[in-house]
Amino acid sequence: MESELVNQLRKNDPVACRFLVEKHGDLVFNTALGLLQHRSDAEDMAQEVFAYAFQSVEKFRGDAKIATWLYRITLSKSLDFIKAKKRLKRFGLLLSIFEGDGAKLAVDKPHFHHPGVLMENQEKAQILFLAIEKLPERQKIAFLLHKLEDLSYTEIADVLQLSLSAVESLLFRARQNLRQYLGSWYEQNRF
Amino acid sequence: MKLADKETWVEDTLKSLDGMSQPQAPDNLFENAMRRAAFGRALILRIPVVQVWSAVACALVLILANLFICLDSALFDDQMIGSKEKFAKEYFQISDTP
Repeated sequence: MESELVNQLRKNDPVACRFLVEKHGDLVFNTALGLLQHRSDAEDMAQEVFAYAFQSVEKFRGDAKIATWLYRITLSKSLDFIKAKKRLKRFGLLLSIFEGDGAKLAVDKPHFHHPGVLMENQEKAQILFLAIEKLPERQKIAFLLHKLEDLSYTEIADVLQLSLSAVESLLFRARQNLRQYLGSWYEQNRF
Repeated sequence: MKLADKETWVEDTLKSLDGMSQPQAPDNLFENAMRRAAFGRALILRIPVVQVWSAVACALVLILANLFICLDSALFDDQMIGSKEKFAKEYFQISDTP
């Protein structure tokens, strides 16, 4: 079934392209949203990921599932985007030295409300997302794939091309770090 | 008591993403992705390999020619200085050396 879809994608068949977007659109958008923590950036990223997938389907060898391949593209492109945004932020800080606070405000990220989080958990989830942002790259990805995408450890290992024990270790350290960040946040803001 | 409150709050916050729903991708994602892919394809220039290698060879020839001219002119300058000294020595008996 998947190989047939890949064959059709290689022929630039618009029906196959539409099927790919309809089947995996939510997966790509949700992953990008968790990483970028900005709705319009995530929408833009989802377009970018599918445009890249249509163009580079020739390179897809079929070793992994299409979903895994799309996860990898989304993660790689989102991380590149975050790096570019950080560079812009540094440049913004530099500008703020010369031009006052206006330039800094232009690149500051607002607090993120994830649209899928339950209403009663919104406030805590917002703080959790702030803490997630501070995690090292791989821990962040593993944690988000597990929590937002509900992927099993084996699926995360497939996406990140790591061993199962490496994923377990990443998630353990991610939770440890999050407990630490959240603990210090609690001490600073609740007392 | 305060420590217990903190622990409870941290654990509750860690569980705040439990039971969340997956937000849906925007409706026009397919159209926008196709437009972007078409635009990307239009930007890719398909240049034949022969032309690429010809361009590389031309660039190399130009670089070597420039290097040769620079080195040659430096040698010519040295020769010019030598010939001026020779002329002065021969006709005016002037020499730089005391």
